[in-house]
Amino acid sequence: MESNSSTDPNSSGVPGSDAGADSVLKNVLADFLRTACETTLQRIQNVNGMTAREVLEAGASLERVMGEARAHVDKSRTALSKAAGGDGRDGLRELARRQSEAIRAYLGDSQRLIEEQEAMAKQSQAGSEKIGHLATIIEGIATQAKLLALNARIEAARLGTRGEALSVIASEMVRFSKEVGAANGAISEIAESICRDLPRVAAHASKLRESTERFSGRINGELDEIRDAGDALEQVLSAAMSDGDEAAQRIVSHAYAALSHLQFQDACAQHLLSIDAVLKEILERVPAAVEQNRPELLSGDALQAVNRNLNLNAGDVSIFETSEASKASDTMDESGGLVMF
Amino acid sequence: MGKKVLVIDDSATVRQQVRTALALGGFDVLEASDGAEGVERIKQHGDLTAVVCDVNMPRMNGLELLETVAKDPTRSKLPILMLTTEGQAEMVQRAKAAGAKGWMLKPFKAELLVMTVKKLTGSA
Repeated sequence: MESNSSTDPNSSGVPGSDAGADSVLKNVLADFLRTACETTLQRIQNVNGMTAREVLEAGASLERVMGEARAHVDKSRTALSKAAGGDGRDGLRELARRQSEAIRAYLGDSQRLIEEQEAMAKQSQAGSEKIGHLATIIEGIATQAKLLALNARIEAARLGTRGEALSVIASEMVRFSKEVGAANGAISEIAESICRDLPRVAAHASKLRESTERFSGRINGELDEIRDAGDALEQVLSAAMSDGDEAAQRIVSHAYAALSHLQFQDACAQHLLSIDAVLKEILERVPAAVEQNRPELLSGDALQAVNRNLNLNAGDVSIFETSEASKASDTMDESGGLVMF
Repeated sequence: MGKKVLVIDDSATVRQQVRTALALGGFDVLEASDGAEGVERIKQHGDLTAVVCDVNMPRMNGLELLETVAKDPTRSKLPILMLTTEGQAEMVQRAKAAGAKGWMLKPFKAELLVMTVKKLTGSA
């Protein structure tokens, strides 16, 4: 800023005189102070603007980091929850348990059916043997009938014409005994065939049962392993979800701390604004004191008045000290400067 | 969607820090840069559950906002937390008389702010 000492019509300075030199010096001093204050004010504004921009950028970065972290945690949790089950879905452990139960139930049913088949084959064999025995009896009956027919024929021949009816009966009995013998022979063959085949059926059923039992033994062991693996997996998933939740809480806690620290800029800005207020007072008072020749404007009392204004005016530096502010109100909570009504 | 909270502060950095902290706490945050804009936001958003408000702001300060909101029977129950560098007892008492629910000093602890807003909104 240019000095106006040489153009000031009210200047009492006379070149070469002490009073004139004193006046010039005052004016130069006033100009110097004005320039210094204006430069400092500009710097303060620059610093405030710069730090505000940088803190906003840091805050925006923190928001992005938190967004990424939260998205990652949510994604992991969703995946883990899906694997562990929930929201109406079955987890891996539940699926393994259900599959194990289904396989065990199927194997149990198969074994039961095979055992029933074995029992039925044995019963059928016994029945066939009984049929064979009955066939022997029937064969004996047929032989007896044949003998009876032979005797009847002999008796009919002995009776002559009177024995004709008996002769017819004897012929029918012979035919009957032949038919019974033929039928009995067929039954015997079938019974023998069944008796030959049933042991093979029983043997197959027995082999199938043994095979199923071996398979059950092996698969039961594996199903137990699957169940144990499911339990272990659930524990791992549960621990991973718990770890994730704890990590998310720690991340939020760190973010809260970072946000608390970032407020240094606002605090600094308020302090700088208070310097700004002091400089504005200097800018008003120094030129006035020089021009009006009123040194009292720059007295210690005047400075104290400025300081009092700083204390009382809203947003100035003294009330920015949290501890001082807390003391200023006896209703203020000592921890964290919070009071709830 | 979280509960909706309005933060009113003329400092962009403070608004950002309050917004981030409350968002981490599960809130949806609206912003206003002075009391007059804050009053407009309160009128526009009937679903607001709380307001975090600075005291010293251009156009309309936080205490004037409190007194304006208190006159509106539809919004007079809206919980308002003052967040300020001010700590003078007379200001605190004036805010209390005008219906403020709390007074928190800057610099604030983000976690404490979130806990306080949760308490005010019945989320704690």
